[in-house]
Amino acid sequence: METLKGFKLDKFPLKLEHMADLIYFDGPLLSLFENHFGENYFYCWCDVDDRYNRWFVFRVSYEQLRLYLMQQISLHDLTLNPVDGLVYCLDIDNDVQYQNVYLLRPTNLPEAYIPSTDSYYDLESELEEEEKKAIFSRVLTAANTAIYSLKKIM
Amino acid sequence: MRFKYKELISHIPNCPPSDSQCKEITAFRFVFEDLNHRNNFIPVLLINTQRINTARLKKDADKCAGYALSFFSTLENAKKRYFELKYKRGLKNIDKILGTHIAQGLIIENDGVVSKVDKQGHFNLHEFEQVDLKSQFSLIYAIVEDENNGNA
Repeated sequence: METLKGFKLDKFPLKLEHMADLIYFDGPLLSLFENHFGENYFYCWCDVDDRYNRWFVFRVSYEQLRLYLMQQISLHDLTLNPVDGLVYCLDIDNDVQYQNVYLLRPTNLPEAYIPSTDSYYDLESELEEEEKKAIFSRVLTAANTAIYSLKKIM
Repeated sequence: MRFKYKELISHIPNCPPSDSQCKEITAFRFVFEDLNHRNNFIPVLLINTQRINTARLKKDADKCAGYALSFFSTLENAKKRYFELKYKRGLKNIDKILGTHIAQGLIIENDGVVSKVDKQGHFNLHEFEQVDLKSQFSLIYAIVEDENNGNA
């Protein structure tokens, strides 16, 4: 595994719930999670060794999620521009325990972990019909909530 | 015939899926160059370092698939999925889990039950006990070599 240049944390500070797998082959490779405020986080698989699978985790806005699903922004750009300006890097062992938790600037991610520049999504090839509906509904609900809130204060 | 991982799948409803069948099919699988590599013909849920996600695996169908072996129906489908994951989705280290080569072999009726081939040309095999696919498969394509030659 690559050496990480970042701040080592005692534990992963976020409580996130799995929402969907956006890229999957023999297991998840890119998953969407949410926190209790309904904010989106991406878990992106990036490395493995004999003990751990390594993932990096970062927050994405609903607008970023929509643009990613619509092939208008790449995973490369999302990774380098997370909402919080930082990414977490985690080594997850076979018992799904989080070890080696780091907080780092996205530009400090090893080159091999940063998705290639043209890493655009393709809903049609990655998701089944039901999964597509569920994720669209999530994005649509967020958009409608935002519009409703704005209308109330106008 | 008894399934190879019977004790692990017997409590999963509809596993293997009821529309799976015993049949002869030419199959293509991602492997590491050394055909004896421990992960080459092991279902993903039995690989030492599992890339699992507990939430996803609460779904019976996914858990069931985790005890099957992944194959593609053609070499082109296998190459397409590999390059899609590595370049179009941007997962640069994907060869560390999938392998570096593609092996071809013939799955026969006595090997297990095969799922329906999906839109990406992918299907699963739930093996019967005593089956050793390693001896039925041979390397036919070096993905990494081809990438280095600029053919990705």
